Amino acid sequence: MASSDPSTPTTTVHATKVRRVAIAGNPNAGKSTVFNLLTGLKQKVGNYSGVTVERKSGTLVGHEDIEIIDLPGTYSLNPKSEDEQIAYDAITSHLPDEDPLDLIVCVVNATNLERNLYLASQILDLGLPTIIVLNMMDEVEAGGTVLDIRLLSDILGAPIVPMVATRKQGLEDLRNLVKGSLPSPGATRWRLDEEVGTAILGLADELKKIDGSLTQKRREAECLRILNSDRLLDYWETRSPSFFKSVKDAREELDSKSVAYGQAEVRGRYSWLGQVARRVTKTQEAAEARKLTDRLDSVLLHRIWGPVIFVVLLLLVFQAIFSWATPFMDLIDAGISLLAGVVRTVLPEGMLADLLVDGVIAGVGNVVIFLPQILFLFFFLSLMESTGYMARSAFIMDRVMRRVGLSGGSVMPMMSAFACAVPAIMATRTMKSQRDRLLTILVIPLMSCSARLPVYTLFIGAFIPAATFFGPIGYQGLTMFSLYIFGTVVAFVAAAVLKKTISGPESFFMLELPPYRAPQWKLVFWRMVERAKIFLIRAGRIIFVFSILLWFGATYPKAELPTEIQSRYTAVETELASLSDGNDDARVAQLEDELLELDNTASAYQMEQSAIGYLGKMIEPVMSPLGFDWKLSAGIITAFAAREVIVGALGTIYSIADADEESLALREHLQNAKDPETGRNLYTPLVALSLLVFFVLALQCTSTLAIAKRELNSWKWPVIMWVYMTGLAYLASLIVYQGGLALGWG
Amino acid sequence: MTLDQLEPGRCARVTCWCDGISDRFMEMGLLPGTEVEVVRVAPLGDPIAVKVKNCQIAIRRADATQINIEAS
Repeated sequence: MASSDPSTPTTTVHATKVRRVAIAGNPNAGKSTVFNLLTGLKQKVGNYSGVTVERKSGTLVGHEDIEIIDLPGTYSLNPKSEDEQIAYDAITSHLPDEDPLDLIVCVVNATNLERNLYLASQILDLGLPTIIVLNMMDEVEAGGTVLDIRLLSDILGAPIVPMVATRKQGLEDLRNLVKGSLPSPGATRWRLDEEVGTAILGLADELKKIDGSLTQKRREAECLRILNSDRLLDYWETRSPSFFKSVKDAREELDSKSVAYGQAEVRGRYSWLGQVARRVTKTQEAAEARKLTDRLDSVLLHRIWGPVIFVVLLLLVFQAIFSWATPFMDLIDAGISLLAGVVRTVLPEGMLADLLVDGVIAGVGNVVIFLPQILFLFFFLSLMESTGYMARSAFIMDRVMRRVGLSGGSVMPMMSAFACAVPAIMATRTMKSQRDRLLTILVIPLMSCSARLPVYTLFIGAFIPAATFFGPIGYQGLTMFSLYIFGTVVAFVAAAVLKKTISGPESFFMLELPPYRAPQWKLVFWRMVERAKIFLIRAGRIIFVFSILLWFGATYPKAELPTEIQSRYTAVETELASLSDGNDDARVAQLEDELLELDNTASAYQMEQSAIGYLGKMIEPVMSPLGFDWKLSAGIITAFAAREVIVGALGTIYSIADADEESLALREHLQNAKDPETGRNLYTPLVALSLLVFFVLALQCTSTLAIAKRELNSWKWPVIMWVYMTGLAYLASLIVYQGGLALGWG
Repeated sequence: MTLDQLEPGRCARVTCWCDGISDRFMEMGLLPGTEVEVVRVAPLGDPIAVKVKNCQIAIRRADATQINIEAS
């Protein structure tokens, strides 16, 4: 490298060196806004290697050589969760796949100085170049408070930029500091309890033997972190058993003298920060924002109105994803059909056209069709987050959700799963506890999503009588409602059971209720776009591949049409050709109808001979205890790509062109299908019920699996999810069908 | 008296802590000697919203029983 070769000018090293800047801060301090201001639109969203924590980075606008990394929000450097651990590891350069940081920008909510400086002073103690951003200065001023920023900067020994990030105030100053010469950190002056201080000095000497490159200040700061945190200490058990033992010994010694070392830092730091806050603050009144917040909260968190408003908002969001998105989805659907039509006319008939249209374009369509729902859901979720309502919803619902082992944060994702599990799983990102988040993701697909609706509609329409029994309420509506309730109840039960099997630190609940703020439309917009991008790129790839595989399964092996059908084809085509134009319109129309019917018969025959038809027959013995014959079984196999596919697949099997869930022809076929041996009706209401129960519970959606894989960063949980849900579905259908038979309902 | 027993709108001072409660609450500023106010109770009675160091945080009643206070 350059350093070992004296002839290489050192300037080239500087020219290629990327400055790495991390943005740290408490949640709700405005970190994301500062990050967006610095990086503009060029952002990369990925994951830290091996974990599910999101990694957001970009470059300073106009400076490709300055990388900006948005760290997860954290209240202290005493990590309690996976994302806080990442923040700690990033700041202390413990991440194996990341280069060390050059500069830290710590975003501080100036309206809540004392508590926000807790983290800031912990970072300063590490002795890294640090810039403090005092954000939300407008709210401070509105509250009649004046902060002595120069004094604060002197006390902390770090440059301070006052900002109103939402209005870009102070952005230029921050930009100049970020690209300017690195500040040299000063020393914070708070005192540790003497006994703990001595222990820390001893540990710092031990650490020096392992890593001599660190400064004494940094060593002391890290030793304090390790002394206080089991999470951080665990890391040393393998890295240096002797240091691990030294820390254990130090803890034991302090315990034996009954020194509460765990509290030493909090007490020492806060008593110093309390003085600092008093010295730099000129007047102290409750901020205006807080008063407005209290007034809003007295309604939004009211004993009666609170839950009512919450439910209404939830219905609104639900309605948006459920029905407002429909016109856009239809539009996309029409666009896909149009594209398919164009490709069909341009390309010669044959395998390439089939692959492109039925495989590739249909596959892309399966992905893009979800986009409107995702955009709508994330518009509302970002809006709620941006205004501060999201925390309130968790506050209202925590008690209910805790009963089943979830927490308040699970409410929004679970409710949005009624529309679609894919955006719902993406929405769990706002949850703090990794364990609660995993649990929520695992049960989300049990909520009846909109893709189940076509299946519900088809089978309810065909087998449940349309009669009403109480006012406008009929058996069909009641069945539909019961299916939704059934899915929800199973989701709650599954959560309670799974909670016992998933190990992990018992989560604790601590939620900040930030003041209400006007929404930041830009941030709302960017969150929406970001989620859409993640979905299209990450999940899209997997869905795409599965769709093409499914197409191959339904198309190959190519079946040789039976001679009977072939000869009918030839007969109809010859007669059509012999009739001259305009001569016998009625006969031509008749023949064309016949041709269409032949096409349908042919594709039904093809389906039967295809890999999927073959599979359907193969699993028939397994499925027949549930009341499903090979045709339904083949339909279920296709539905594992996406549930609604079964409607079209059954249409193909029963040779009805363009069948949809409203198709009367398909309903009649299902009602009248006969067992070839006994001649009795093949599908009874009991079979329909069994199938419906199967669809409520089974995880038949490659998109869900793909997004779960992306969010949980491994195939382990999606596989577990698929196995437990499909097992549950089989069991429940078995009970319904066999139980029904025993009761003589067959 | 423990924090869960404090009525909404009333202030108190934290006196001491029971073992086994997360030190995160302390890092949020709920440490001995600090003023706390119970601002409101969730519609279903749990959790409660407390104000500490000019900031509102929601904590569950089960955790609040671990925090001893004296009314001021």
